[in-house]
Amino acid sequence: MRKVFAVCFTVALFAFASTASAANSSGTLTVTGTVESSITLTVESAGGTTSGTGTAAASSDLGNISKFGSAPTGFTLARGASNWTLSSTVGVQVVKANLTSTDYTLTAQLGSAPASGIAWKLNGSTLSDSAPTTLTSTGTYASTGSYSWDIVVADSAAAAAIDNTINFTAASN
Amino acid sequence: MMIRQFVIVILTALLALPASATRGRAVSPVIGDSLSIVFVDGTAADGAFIAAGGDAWLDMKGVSHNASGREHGTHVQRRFGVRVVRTSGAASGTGTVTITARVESSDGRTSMRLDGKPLSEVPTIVEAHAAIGAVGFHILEIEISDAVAPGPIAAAVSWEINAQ
Repeated sequence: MRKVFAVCFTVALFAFASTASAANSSGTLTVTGTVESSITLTVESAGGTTSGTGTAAASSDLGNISKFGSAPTGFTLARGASNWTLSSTVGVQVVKANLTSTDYTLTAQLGSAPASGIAWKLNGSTLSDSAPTTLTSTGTYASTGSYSWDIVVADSAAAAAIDNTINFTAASN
Repeated sequence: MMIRQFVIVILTALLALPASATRGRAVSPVIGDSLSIVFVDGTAADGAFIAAGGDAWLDMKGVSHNASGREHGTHVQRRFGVRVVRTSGAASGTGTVTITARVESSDGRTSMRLDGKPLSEVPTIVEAHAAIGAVGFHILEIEISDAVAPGPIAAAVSWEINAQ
């Protein structure tokens, strides 16, 4: 009798297990795409009262500047015989993604012609609005490169705004 | 005597079983019914989403690191819906199912998260009690490391529904 119940119990277990098995179904979501190489440039620091650092569009306000006044924030002022120079640095970082390149070339160019008697220099080279100036051809990715920044003002320059834009361009090598 | 008792008990059990199974279905209409997954496009976002019944294709097309972003890696996310329907055409709205998802295949060039939870080859519960007929929306995030070489990527996520 004990065996009979054991057998019945076993049969019942199989039967219930079969009955309770849940209906199921499946679907598939396929994901495809193409990874493209890219680099990004950010201005990390600059003299003056800056805004937008850490992005690709930073601004620096020097306020009112004069040969015998105070140097703007983050600048030093050097007076020469016939001109004076405001000096600071600009920090530029280039980051790569999905790229095998090991270094990059960085150039700079003024957005507009400088006012008469004003010279903009980066790394000792005078910038123009007509052609890019190479700052480095072996830039290290993900490392902020510091470039000396000088604004040379002739004593003969008119008292007026010196506003301009420095356009940086990085190209992977 | 023993054999007779045995036969009676077995027959009784076998006769009783279909009845109990029928009662089980009556209580939980999901069991024994035919269900399937239907993908539904979410909002417009990165890439194209093509749903075809129980299968869907998300083509992210060309993806590159966000130029204005400072985070590492490239992130693409897509919102889409999943609905469980009865293939028999019976009225929906009765019963719930459990929906799970797992990585079915991957070229190893991406990692994926569904609703914030990492996806792996081990099934993850997406919805523990999804109502049949209702659309549940989910967000699939695809992350591509900066170190990944340019080129095509491919992965597949398998979705499974289990009636409760």
